Amino acid sequence: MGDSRALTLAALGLLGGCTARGPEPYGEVLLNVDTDLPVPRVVSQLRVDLYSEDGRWFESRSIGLPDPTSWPVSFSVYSADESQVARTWVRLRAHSDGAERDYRGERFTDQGVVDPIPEAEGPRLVRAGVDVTPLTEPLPALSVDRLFEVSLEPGRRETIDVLLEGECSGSMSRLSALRTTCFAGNRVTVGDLSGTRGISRATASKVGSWSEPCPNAGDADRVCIPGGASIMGSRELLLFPDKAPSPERVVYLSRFWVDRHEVSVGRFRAAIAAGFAPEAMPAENPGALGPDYVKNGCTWQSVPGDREAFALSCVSQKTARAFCQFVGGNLPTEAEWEYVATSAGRDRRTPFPWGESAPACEAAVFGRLSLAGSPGVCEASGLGPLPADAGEGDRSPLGVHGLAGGVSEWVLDSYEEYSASCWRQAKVADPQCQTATAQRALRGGSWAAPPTVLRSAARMGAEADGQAAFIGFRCVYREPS
Amino acid sequence: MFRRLSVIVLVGAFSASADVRAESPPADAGVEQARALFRKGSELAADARWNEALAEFERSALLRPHAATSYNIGICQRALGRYTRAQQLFARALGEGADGDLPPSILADIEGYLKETEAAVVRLNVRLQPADATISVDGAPLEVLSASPARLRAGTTQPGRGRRAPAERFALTLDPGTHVFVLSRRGFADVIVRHSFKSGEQRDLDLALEKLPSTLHVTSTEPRSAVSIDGVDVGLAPVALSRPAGSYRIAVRKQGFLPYEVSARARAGERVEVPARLQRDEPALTQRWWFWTAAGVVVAGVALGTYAATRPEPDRPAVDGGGLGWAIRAR
Repeated sequence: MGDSRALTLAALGLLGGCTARGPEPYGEVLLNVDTDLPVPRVVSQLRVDLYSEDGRWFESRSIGLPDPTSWPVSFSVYSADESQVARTWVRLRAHSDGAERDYRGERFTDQGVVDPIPEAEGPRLVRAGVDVTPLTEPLPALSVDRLFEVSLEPGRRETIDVLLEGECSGSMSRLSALRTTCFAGNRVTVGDLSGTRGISRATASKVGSWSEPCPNAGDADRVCIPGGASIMGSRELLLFPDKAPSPERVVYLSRFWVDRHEVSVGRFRAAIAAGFAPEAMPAENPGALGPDYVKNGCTWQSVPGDREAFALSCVSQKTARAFCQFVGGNLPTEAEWEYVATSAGRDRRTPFPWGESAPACEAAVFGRLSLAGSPGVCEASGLGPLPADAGEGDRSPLGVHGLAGGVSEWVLDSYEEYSASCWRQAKVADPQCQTATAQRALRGGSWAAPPTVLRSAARMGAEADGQAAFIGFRCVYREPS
Repeated sequence: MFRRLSVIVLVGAFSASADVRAESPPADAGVEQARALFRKGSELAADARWNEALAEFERSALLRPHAATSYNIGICQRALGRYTRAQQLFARALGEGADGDLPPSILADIEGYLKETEAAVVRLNVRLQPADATISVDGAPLEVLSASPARLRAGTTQPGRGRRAPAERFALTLDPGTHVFVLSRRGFADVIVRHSFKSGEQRDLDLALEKLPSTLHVTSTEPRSAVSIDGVDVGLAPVALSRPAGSYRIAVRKQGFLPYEVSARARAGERVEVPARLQRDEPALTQRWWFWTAAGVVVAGVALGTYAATRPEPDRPAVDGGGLGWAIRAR
């Protein structure tokens, strides 16, 4: 056997020695494409579009990549022109499944301002005289959009590593006269990316690396929420068309800690004993709760009673914020609240803090009041509020309790449309919206709410100094307790 | 004022009727309590405290149903703008009062109220697709007034899950205002939609469920195998894709392995598992190294001579294509 192999090698060596040098390889660039966003929570599709130097669109491909281990992905662009350097524009867009809109020509969007649609609605993708333009394109607000140029030099093969950065989410590349794109969070003029000589496929992935881990899970009072990216809002929730939670946007939240439970009457009383002096006290209900729970549903009593474990209600946003600041924190932003309720501790967003299943009366505190003449859906199990730790199933994977039910919670932001300028101009990282409006946002359902309000993306608002029996709050912190 | 007077008159009617009956068998504690609740309700109604009055009348009716009580509940519901429930109660009062429990003036009032609420309720011609979807309005199923022609009413049943309507198209009466419609059917995505209606409004309302997509979950015995569906690359295995229900041609490929191809039929809302078992592309006999070793030794001399004479141009190095296998030619 060994002799045979030696013979073969000798023969091949002889043949090799006689072989003339072959043609040069085509000019080729291998593109290793990766992202630092979480897959599939924010990214699960890659769209590739190629344009010639004169702006002609000649290729469009799309591929689903919902498995984090599929990243990085690689493909190559080459030129068969052996006489000159060919230049090609490459546009890469990473986005989530379904985050697409009809293609009606390039509609450059910068902070929500849309360029007029050109009359010709171009460019168009035409192959062999047939218009094969894709019907859809990724939604700019939910995409990382990167445009760059590659040079294809005859005989040269190189590798370019491209990271689709979460920091550039929502920043659309501009194809028109002055080509711009987002790089490292900034809008830059598109240039030629120089590569590494030779073809080399990347193996290590950066998927999900735009994150900030927790040192530990937290304690009995506070839960640590690791920093990370997700999508905020919902294009499917139609319940509140006046302030619908759309358009959606990609957000990144820095690591923070959040109260495991809503702030209770007893905790508020302890803060007062420790020196907290709010400008306005919560509305007091010295008697029992109910039977008219709208009028007599407030939980605060100036003298300790049997409601110390109940979530504090009938408290203004200003007092709630002052309390949080007194204990070393603040009210959560809408983005922080929604991140805890929909994403933290999960690979994919879920409609409810506990997951996908519809709210059940035995699992969460809601539907305990007649509304608009219809009995509450959980009236059979009683009326009015319950202690803050009731509703054992209303718990996020990281252990935050009572987000869906209990009391609706004040957050820091003004209650504005997601299409308002303060939201359009907000950064991807730790966004918030503060305007002069007197209304502040409320998140989460309450003991009085119908089940449809319990969806984590749902939004409500109220006057900042409003006090209602179904409104309370919880705090967030930059440090553990 | 008219409404308030109506209730006060009925206090007398209920009391008299209850008193008359109390003479033969003595009134039990339940009847006494019902009467007290009725009086309390009437007092509250006189002050236009309709919600509180309603609670008293309803408790009274639980203890002792009576045409007068049903009538007064109907008055409260009407005052609160719940016209469909008021209609239900007025109809019940007419039934309970068939043996003369209600004076003619009240019967005339009921007729007037029924006409008035008929003019106030919203009338919808609903088309429900698919017809066997369940429907609820404001968290309660609809009351079926008649199956053929299909006539339904909202706002008169206890809270609960939606139920199927008797037909794809049906007439629906409901109160003016804002209502939440919930449609549901296995294999379809739930629809939760809010509509607002003006008093007396009449219009068509199409309620349609969208078919849930099916999920194709393609796995492979070999990591990073390329998956294509109907000839379109969709990703690297494992991959889960939402697609409309239907039949699909799924192919899984990886260099060095035989392609795996299969047809899958996916139904709405279902998840179809496609586990691809890739087998190595074993070289044929003529591709084994030892076959060519032996053959090579025999023909080497001849081949060398021939090769030298007719040496072909060497091939150009192949383009790479990366992990996706996409080598895209620039134009």
